[in-house]
Amino acid sequence: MSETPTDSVGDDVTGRITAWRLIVTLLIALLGAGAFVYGALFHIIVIGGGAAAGPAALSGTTDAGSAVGATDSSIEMPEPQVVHDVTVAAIVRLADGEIEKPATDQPAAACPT
Amino acid sequence: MAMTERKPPLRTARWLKWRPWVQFGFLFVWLDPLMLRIHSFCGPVFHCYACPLATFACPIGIIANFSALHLIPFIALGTLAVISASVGAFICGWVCPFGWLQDMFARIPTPKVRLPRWAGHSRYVVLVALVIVIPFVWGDAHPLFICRVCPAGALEAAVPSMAKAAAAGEGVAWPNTIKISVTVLFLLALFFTWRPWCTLLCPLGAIYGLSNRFSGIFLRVSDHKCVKCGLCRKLCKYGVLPDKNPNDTRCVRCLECTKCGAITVGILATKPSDAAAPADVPGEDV
Repeated sequence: MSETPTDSVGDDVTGRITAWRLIVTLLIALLGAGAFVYGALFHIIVIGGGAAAGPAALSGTTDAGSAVGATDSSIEMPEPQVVHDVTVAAIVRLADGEIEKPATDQPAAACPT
Repeated sequence: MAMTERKPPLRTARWLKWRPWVQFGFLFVWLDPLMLRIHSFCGPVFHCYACPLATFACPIGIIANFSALHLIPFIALGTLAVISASVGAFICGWVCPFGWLQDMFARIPTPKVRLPRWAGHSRYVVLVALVIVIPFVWGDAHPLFICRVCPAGALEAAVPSMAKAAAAGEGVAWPNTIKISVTVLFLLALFFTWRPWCTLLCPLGAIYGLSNRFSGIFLRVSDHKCVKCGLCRKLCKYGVLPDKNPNDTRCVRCLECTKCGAITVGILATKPSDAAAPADVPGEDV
């Protein structure tokens, strides 16, 4: 039986498992960073155009009333319509690159919940 | 190498008194004091973007929305992966505003019960069913779509919105029955257990919990110092057995268990703090 001090993570004084953790951690962090960059650069087609719409498209959510959706080029864009409500705000799919604001500035009024 | 040259370990217990203040300080990040309104960007915490005081968007809301649209939320997933790999569930214990809210309620001196250990796994049911499967299959209109039942959304977004509408003399749009029921049950549970949302239902905590095994900051137990007294188990309110598995998926990294002195915070690529014999580093490691 080894008398090397161990802990519940499985580390020993040689740092062997610490190296394993380092590799896994860095791998997942790199994958995450890659996903972030890929999403920012290639997956998002900013509907409505303009730098102002870009950040909103990143997350697929929108500030109440700003009506910016996130999609990719494979999504067929219907006529502007409210397709989703998140508590009190709405994501609006946009068509033809135009920004269509919801009919109301009081999104809660349109919230079905 | 002389044992006395080893860098002293982190003295975690000293940090604990600062935890509420750290949580409180982060409110100034999440509650948008500068009115930045970056609602379009994924935040790392469970805070509804529809809240009038939200700086960022809720990552769970983003994932659910994208699932409903049959899209992969690369940016949100990337954000969560980076956060998970770096600090993991420390977000829950030290940063999340909804966790802070529950911690504040926990200070109310009411008799509290510890939930069974298996209860922590129910979060994964919520994550898979309400955040991914239901939105993907039935879309956002389903009554169990996560945002439609989320008590954080109710308290942070619906209540202010209703209050604003009522104050303006406009018609109040009430949340649906399920959401009201979940919120009322959640508020009641706050008085009788610790962090009921985090323990039972939080899908974001479920994601961060998965990273406890590999995150860059983690917990470790010193076999030299652990005397199997069970103190760490008594200190933990979330069903974790810190002496057996300090990096359990249910751990929210409140670090209360570190008060026992045998559990310490480890940081990526650091060696165990008790590499030296106990006699070489007396009184350290807490």
